[in-house]
Amino acid sequence: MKNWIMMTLALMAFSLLPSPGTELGELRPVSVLAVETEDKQIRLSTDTMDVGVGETLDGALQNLEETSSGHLFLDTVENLVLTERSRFLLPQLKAILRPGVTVCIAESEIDLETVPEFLHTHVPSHHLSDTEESTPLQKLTCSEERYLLGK
Amino acid sequence: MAQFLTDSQIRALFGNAGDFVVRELSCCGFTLYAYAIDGLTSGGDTSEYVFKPLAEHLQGDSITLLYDNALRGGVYNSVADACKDLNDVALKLVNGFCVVLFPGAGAIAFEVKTGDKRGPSEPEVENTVKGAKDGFVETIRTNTSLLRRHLRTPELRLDETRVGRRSLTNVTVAWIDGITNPELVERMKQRLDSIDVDALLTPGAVEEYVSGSRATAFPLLQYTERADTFCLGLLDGRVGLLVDGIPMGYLAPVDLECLMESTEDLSRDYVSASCIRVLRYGALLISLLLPGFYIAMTVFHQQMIPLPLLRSMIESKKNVPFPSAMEVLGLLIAFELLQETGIHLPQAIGQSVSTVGGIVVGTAAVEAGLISPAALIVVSIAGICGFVLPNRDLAEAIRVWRFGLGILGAAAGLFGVTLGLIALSIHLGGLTSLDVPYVSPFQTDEQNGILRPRMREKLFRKERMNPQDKRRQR
Repeated sequence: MKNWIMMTLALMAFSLLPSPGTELGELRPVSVLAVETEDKQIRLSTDTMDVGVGETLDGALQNLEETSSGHLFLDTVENLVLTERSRFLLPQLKAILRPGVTVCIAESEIDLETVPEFLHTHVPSHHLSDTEESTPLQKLTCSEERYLLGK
Repeated sequence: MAQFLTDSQIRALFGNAGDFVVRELSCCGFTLYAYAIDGLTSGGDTSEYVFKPLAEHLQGDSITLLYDNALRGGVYNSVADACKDLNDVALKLVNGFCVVLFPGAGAIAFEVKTGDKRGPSEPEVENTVKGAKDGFVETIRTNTSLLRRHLRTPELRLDETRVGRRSLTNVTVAWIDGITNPELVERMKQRLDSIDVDALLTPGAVEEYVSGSRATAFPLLQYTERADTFCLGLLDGRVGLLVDGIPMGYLAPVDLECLMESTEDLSRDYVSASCIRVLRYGALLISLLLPGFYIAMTVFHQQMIPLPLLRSMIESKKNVPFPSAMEVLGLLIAFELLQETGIHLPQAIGQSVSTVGGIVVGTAAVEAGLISPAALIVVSIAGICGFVLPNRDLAEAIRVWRFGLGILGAAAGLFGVTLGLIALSIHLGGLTSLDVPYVSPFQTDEQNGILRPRMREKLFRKERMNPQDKRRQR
């Protein structure tokens, strides 16, 4: 009898636990996250071709989650591509992304379908953890569908 | 008393049993009665070593004189025991004796056991490359003779008793006088005396009744089918138990270290044996934890998985319709079912079913997108690691707990797994075998058993067994 009571209590305790589990197959792992600002709007784009727009970073992230067809998983982000105008978001991005994420500045429009492969081979030297707003970052340029990661 | 034994009393013992044989004999003008159980006695030996001397050599003027002469060598037989009462007669008969009744004088039991029994053969589970090949058999006397051959010391004590009201199973408590703590022996005898059951016929019955049937999956008696392993246990100061009809010996007390030792360790050099032992402990942890950790990490803590691995896992999981927890728990159940199939089918068919089930169905299920390769690999690795454990009972306990940890991992992630591990630690910490704590190898200052020490450095016996003679060698 005592054992049954203990088991029932244990089951009840477990049923009270929050269940934030996410099925692995539902995850949409993001490799490259591009952040740009346009007309006081923050625009987040991912290599999964998801886009989120908002007036704040949190708003843009929420929009990104809501419009994505699965559970967007930002813990897999390897490269963060900023623009000169979105550099000011670095401190906020540090709180969201892993410290090992590499950072570079896009000087021209980039194609998020092809840029992950380039950045996988040409890894930017700066990591999010050691990057400040004033840190000179490597420039990513694109001309005639060819990328170049400058100094 | 013996003088009150009558023919009708002895005949009534076995009713009209088909194998109960009665023969009337005439000796010096007196009528004697011979009784035996067909199949347990040898007809040839009975004729040669009981009937022939009775008919040809036994002389006496009175029945009492005949009885005395027969008891003192008039009947040429190595064993001639006077039966004290009717119970004694029954016991002798069921143990392969021919009982001769001298009406009004008494009854004598002559040993004429049949030679139909299995001889010592190679152990099937605990076989070694270099070690001895003689394993225990179902006959207790053969087993005690094996012990005597391995341990020729006269200090080897074999205390025999009977357990089971109906089965009258012969049980032998073995220990080495001067080494084993007498308290352990006494406790084991007390436990045997306290068993009042119909029969003690199965290993499970022995283990549960002798160990006190604690609510645990972990074994509280160590079994072995090897005579040399049994003798090594006795030399460690442990108590042994041999049960007639069960082709294995039991050793107590038992702790985790004993269960993780293999006889093969003593057939190798200490470096190789130590490496294997480390691997074995690693396998124990992997077998116990891997499914739970996998479920916890794939459902709750994906950020802990290295990125390339995570991507590959996500990719392989995309078209699988079942959640990770269900996949792994389902595969664990399938794995158990396959093992059960292998046990219950004849060996040749069992192996085929295991192969078909494990490889063909597993591969087909992955290709059909029913399960992900990662889940199959995790369950396979956990299963294989379980087979590394030298003690089957321990491996089964680990299987039970790993399933539990899998459920906890599915319910609450690493928090649940940690909770389960705490519960397991508390459970193991509370287990004792003949009052020796189960995890004592890891809680005392004694040299722990993960590495195999050099033979010449093992100067003392295990302190936790509290042996009388602590020194093993000089």
